[in-house]
Amino acid sequence: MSDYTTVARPYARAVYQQATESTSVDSWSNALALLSAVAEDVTMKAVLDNPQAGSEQKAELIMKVAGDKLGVTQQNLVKLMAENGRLKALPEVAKQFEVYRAEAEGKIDAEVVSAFPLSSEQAESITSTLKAKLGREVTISTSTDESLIGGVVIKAGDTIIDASMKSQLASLALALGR
Amino acid sequence: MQLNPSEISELIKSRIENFDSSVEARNEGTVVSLNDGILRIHGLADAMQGEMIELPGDTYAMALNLERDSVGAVVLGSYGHLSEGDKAKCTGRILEVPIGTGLLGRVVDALGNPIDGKGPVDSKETAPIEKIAPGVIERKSVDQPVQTGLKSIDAMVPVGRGQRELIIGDRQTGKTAVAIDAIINQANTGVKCIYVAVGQKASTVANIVRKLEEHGAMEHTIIVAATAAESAAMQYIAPYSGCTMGEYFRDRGQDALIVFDDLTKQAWAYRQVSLLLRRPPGREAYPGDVFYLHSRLLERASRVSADYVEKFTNGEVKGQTGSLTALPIIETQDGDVSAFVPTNVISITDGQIFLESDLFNAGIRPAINAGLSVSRVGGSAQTKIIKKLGGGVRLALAQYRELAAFAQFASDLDETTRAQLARGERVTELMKQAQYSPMSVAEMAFSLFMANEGYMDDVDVKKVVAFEAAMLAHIRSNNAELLAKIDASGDFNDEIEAGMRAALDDFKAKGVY
Repeated sequence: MSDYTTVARPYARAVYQQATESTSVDSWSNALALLSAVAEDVTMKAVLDNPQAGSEQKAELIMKVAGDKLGVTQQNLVKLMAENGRLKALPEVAKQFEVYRAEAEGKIDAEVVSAFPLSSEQAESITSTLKAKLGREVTISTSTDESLIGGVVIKAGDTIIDASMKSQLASLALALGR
Repeated sequence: MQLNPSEISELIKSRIENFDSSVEARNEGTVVSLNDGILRIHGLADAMQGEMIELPGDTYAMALNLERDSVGAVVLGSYGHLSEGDKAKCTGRILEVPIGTGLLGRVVDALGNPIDGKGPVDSKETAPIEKIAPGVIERKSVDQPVQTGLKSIDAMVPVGRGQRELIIGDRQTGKTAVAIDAIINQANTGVKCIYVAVGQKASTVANIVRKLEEHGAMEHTIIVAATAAESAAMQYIAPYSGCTMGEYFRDRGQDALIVFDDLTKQAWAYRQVSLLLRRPPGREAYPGDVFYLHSRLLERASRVSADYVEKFTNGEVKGQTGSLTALPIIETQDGDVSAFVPTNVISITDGQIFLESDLFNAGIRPAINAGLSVSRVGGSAQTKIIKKLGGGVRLALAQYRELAAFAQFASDLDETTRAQLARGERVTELMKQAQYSPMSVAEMAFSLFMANEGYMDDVDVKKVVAFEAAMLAHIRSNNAELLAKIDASGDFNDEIEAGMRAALDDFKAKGVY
């Protein structure tokens, strides 16, 4: 996972710059999502790992699977990465592309896990509080996890706000056990 | 089932009431790899150098390598319960240890947790283990002595308060013994002591604790132990923890003495951590910053001015200077002082006490090599009387060694040479001193005066030790007032000289030895 972070960074940055210059951020985003899904497929992974398959073959295979959904520049990216033997970094490139995009657009995705389903007012208030705290446009996705007992856990990028009953009980247990 | 003292309902109730349950936004990362106690954590973009990182199961790690996408950290303590994929959280705090007088008399580990089974440490304050040493303006020159109680050291290589004096020698030459004697001698001086054991056997540490207790020296001593069984990270940070505990006293206008036993093992521990973190190895496979490892530690041992103390304590302590004296110990391999770490530490410190196995085996203990041992700043801090009387000792020993080598081949020697040889032999004998029996300034003065004035020139060399013991016993019972007077003032004048001469004449006349 993190092995490809460094490798993927220049590709992601170049792609993002190309995308903004040609105002095709959305199409690039879709294309990269598709490519990363393709590259993550189990059978495709086996092919990418196969040292006997040439880089051109691999690139061709990926483009065939993707079909006509790729533009010329996007096909060029696949060819270039194949030439450099970096096709396995495609999912990471897609991920970092989205990070650049979110940063430029001042947006951030936050994941809210709660013990009980949130009402729309609650979700609304969490969104506005997070927006004030992080200074960015926040999009939240909610899910429930009964093991939290109560409260919420909010994850936005590297930042985590753990206000769940479960973690507070755990730290109380630690404090009493000392 | 046994109930802990902390499990009383009232206590539990108050602890639950006072439990801090506030929620903070924290940086979180994922453990990508864990090998040999080294964590690689993905994420943690806000981590600081040296920050404590919280891991599952009340375990902490220290961030050492901040890289673009990951953080390299060392686990402090055991890591058997950790695994890849665990969550790691920033705490926003640099590694801290408890400080204060509550630590005196205790044995703690490198993180300040008690390991002597005497319950929690009574200390409310904490301080970061890495601090910048006081600057030029805040310092004061060294002009007060630390009496080690060993006449060979106090006479030839005096140590001043705030000095860094290296104790260097092969294994089994009595390095620790010198340091322990110095600690024992601080019982009535008000100097607080910190003994940092790095990479030693737990049994050795237990022995030292027992010896200090026996000699009533534990009340003014803190022992920081990172034994050989503890992780390299703990051994690496232990000297810094001890130093922070010592700085507490220095910054509050008191005097403290810290012994690092020994820095060679700390350098080994740091080398291990650095190599596991994949930092490039240099000479003897040590990382590039092994000099800085020791220089930043030893720079913190210093004497600070009264202004600094007053400012630090917000005016509570006025007109008092503070000091932290360091006695780092370095173990050499086969007398090789030109190895990497010994040369580094020799160049950092203000002098060294060089112990030799040949001397040790010849029965000269402490086995101090008078020629190679120096104190660069201690001279100005030496007690006046010892300075006056001890000046001749070094010279006598130096001349003796030169002549002794030469005299082996010469058949007949002239009168002066023979006298010098005789004096040297006796002074060498006189410099012997048993372990755990520190001497007061006055007692030392008497021994030195006796040698200078030729009182033992007619004593058989083999009987010098017994002669000295008899003399001291005689003086203690007959001239207690004079001893007390010398101890109190530390001056040497005609009156004291006459008193000493009279006392020694009396002793010789009675011939009780």
